[in-house]
Amino acid sequence: MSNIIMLTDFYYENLFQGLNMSIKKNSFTTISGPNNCGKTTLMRILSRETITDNIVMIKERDINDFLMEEYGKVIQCIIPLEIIFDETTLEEEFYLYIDSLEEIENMLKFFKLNKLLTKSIKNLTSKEIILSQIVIALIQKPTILLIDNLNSYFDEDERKEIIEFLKEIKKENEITIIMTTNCLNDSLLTDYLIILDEGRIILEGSPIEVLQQDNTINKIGLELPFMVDLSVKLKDYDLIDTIELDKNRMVDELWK
Amino acid sequence: MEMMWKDSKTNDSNIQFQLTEEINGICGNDKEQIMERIYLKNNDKEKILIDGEELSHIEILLYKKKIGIVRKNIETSFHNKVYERMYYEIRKKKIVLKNPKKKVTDALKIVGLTEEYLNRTIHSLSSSEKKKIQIAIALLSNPVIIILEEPFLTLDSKNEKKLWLLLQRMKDQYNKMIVIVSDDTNKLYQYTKHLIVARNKKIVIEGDTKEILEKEDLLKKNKIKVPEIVDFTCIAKKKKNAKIEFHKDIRDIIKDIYKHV
Repeated sequence: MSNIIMLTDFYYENLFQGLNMSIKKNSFTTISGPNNCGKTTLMRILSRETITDNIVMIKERDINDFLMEEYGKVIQCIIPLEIIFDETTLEEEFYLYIDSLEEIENMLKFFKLNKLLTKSIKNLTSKEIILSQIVIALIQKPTILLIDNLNSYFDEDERKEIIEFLKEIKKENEITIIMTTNCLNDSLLTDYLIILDEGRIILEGSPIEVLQQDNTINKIGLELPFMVDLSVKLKDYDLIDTIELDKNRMVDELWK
Repeated sequence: MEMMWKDSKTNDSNIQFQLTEEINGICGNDKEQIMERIYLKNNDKEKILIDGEELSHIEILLYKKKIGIVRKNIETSFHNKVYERMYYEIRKKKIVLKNPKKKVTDALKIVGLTEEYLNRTIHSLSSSEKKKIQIAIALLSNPVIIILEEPFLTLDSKNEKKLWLLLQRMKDQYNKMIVIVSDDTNKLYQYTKHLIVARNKKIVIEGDTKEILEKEDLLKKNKIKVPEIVDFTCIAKKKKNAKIEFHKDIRDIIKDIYKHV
């Protein structure tokens, strides 16, 4: 698999000092890290909301070389908006991008937006706004989808549903999804995990392998998912051999 | 402190709960409504009684001044800079201050931020800094009750511990009442002492957090998520009759397992 995003020796204000990062094509990557590690800033840079002089490569082209119209096809970014004054209805918003709602009917049903179509965006809850942002982003069939901090709006089960849904979308379409979170439990559902601290990548790899580095993760101030934490600690006492994520199987394993 | 709402016509008690000196938690699908009740929103049709005494109209207004709310997300509207947002709060709540600048910097100091943050735009802050600014804003009016809605959501474990220590200090040294409104039972189990479970406009369970969150059946009946650590202990007890106790810390559970396996 080739890389779709490349950051080499990347500098930005005090946050990033020589960051090297590459994201594989068609992967579902989680970027995590403690507070103030630059997760959202990175999202803003990739979505060109923040402009830098540094070279960021997407599809082997510098992101500043893309035309504005082109860029929407390449990257769609979901960063929760803080204030919305728009009086437009959700329906109007969707019709800006497509001619009929039929093709996105399944999506609307899944996110329970089909009954809200005539409501104006101002009156929606923040959850509904983010879900409609996701739908609008997916309509445009971008190559890369960025999602920032789902965990500040959705609870664990809702997040799991959204991630599973995006994985289904990923199976059918060629799309690279990047998600930031500080809840490491979510990363277990994705393919690849990158942990940032002080502007550098300190750990990366498949989530289950990365999460076994419990000392490093605790030191930077992230919380391990409960079952991983338990498994790693039991492993230290030689009570089990492998990481077990299911509570029932873990109990069977321990009390044979 | 006991809070009670009575219907003004029939005099029936609609809802009633206690807030204790220890850290209080509220969960369940109707937690927002209880939160609204604590800051006395929409109170036309009901009488409010605190510790058995009915509040008059003026007392309600005075009571409202004593409450600080830290919402899930910061409300910024037109205020771009941190100092604008903080001075707006002082104007809005009509807080009388001899030296507003000192109050603002003191509030920032309490939450662990420096004066330099005053000139930052709210947009440029990270999520944990936003949360800290929100708490500083809530502290400006010197509230007696502080309500925090999902406070730990965007914080990493270092900041979470700092916030918890801050809440402890406010409770012990300044006698403030702390109420945490959250659905994250893992955190409630760890940090709160008194728990109120609100479901379908009723208080279904109220009491000691540890006792409530260890009753698995009761939680499942009320669609409350069982804390992970309790869930694991329950499965081990049920399936294998294992001799392990309920613990808040994962290391204690491991000690128990080590002893008995």
